[in-house]
Amino acid sequence: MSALWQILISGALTGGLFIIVASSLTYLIGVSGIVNFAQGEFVMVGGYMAFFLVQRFHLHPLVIVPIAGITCALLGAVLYEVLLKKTVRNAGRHEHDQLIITLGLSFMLQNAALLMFTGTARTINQQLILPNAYWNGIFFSGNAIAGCIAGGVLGLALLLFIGRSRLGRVMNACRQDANLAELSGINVDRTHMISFALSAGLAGIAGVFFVSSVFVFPSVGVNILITAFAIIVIGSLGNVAGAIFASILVGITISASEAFLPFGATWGYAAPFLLLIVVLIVRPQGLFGREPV
Amino acid sequence: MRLGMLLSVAAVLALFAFGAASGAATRSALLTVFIVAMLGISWDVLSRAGLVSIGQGAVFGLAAYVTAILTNAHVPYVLAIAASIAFAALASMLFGSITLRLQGIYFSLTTLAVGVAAQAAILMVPGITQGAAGISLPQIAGGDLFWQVVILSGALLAAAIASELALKSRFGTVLFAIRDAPRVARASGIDITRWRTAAFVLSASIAALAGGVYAGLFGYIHSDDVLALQWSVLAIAAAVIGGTDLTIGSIVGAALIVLINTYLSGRFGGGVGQLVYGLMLILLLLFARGGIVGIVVALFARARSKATA
Repeated sequence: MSALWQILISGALTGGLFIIVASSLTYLIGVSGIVNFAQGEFVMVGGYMAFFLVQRFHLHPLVIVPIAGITCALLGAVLYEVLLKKTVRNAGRHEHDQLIITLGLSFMLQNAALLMFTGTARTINQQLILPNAYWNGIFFSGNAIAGCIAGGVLGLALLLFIGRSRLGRVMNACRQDANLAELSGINVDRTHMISFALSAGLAGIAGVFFVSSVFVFPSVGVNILITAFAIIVIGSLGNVAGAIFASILVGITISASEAFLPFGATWGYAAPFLLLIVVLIVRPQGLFGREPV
Repeated sequence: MRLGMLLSVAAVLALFAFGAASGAATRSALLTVFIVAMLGISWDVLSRAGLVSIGQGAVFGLAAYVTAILTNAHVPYVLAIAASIAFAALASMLFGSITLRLQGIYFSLTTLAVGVAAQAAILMVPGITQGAAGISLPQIAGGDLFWQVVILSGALLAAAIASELALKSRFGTVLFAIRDAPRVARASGIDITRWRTAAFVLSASIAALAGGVYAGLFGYIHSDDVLALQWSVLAIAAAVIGGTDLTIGSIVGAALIVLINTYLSGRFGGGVGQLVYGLMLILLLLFARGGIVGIVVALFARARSKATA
């Protein structure tokens, strides 16, 4: 019995780690329509920052959270202004430019990281944010719980921000009718830039919790991105609450396939992608979407 | 003969002549140009139908594996490649009939996921694929670089001709109509999913041809190499840097990418070349959508209008 609980709990904790990055990705799609293939690289950047700040200056991981968040948000703002602004305006005519540009950006950041940090996998999982615990023979990783709590808090904050705040409503207005928003005196370009920066900042924060629990290496972003994509498609694109729910679901799928299938580790690695393919085929609008796509 | 076909054939012949005239080091770098050019063409065929694939590398890598497994079972090389093309065509027909109903981004996501899932799948059946050990097979032409250049020129020529024929026929026109005016296309009675599936099959066949010949170049393949995301990015980069909706674009793009990669990585170490062509990909898309070929055409047009004025 406790083995089953262990699978459920470690699965939920694995999934919890993805809440921040999945919500930031899906929120950006919801408010600006940008599908950012370089989101995983912001996680990678946040993770490396945490690793080096812990190693050199012995900072506490929680102190690094705002540093990584702000750095990645600034990086995101600059990249949006330089690379994406034009494509968001032209989205009607050349809808694929954004995809190819963010993919190219992802590839560049991976190779830049490889040059700067080498291919060695890094982690600060020895640096405990919360103590590990055993309870009735079930192991609870303290850092994973910390990532889960942070995911829950930030995910809910994001939901409130989009639904309740003035800026959140402005963002929605830009998405629903950019011309009307512009006519009402809203700076649409700047609003999209803020959305993108916020999303990148959240991904940077996710990076700190990633490197606290698992490994970060130059191409880690691709794996994170595809898992996050599986999550947000299952939770319906643009739906933050759906993403939070689907994170836990995908986490449990991963740990269950690792436990029950032959070649467990490989299946755990492949599970989110296979799940994504199945969901795209059977119900591409996701669990919470109404309209077929 | 039409200009596009003429230029594409001339470009392949020029690459062949260059390969025949140069030494071993240049020849082995040139082999990559042929492979990347074929991948670029295979990506471009899909892009003409408004589909952005991030999974050309998956077809490439799986075809390399099929070819390697069959040659190890003593199937002659040519038949093994033919079988891997047939396998890719069939698989893409099945896969396409399901996923091609999906809109833009959902389609791209599926292709990306297939690539990563394929890498895991190879490791799951070590009885057939030899898993993480990689797989050895006899080299094409016994590893003779000159004959390898000959064979790769032939393969690229076949891919370029197929692409040009598709471009200048009703098939090509329908694909552009589906991409640029989907509603009009549907209203004219065009079955969008069927034509897109046809483009998918052609694209997969070209990528499979590239994978099949690649498998035999070095006599050894590994899933970390042939199923790396890099090949999918290279396919996009070659087409976009050289120029999309053209066959010659991918050939020019591939030559430029390999040149940059070989020079920069030789001088500054691995990773720098990728950084530069990633940047070129983004800049060209932002500022010169026609790619290098588009820039050259614009320069010619300007020179001609000056001459007549």
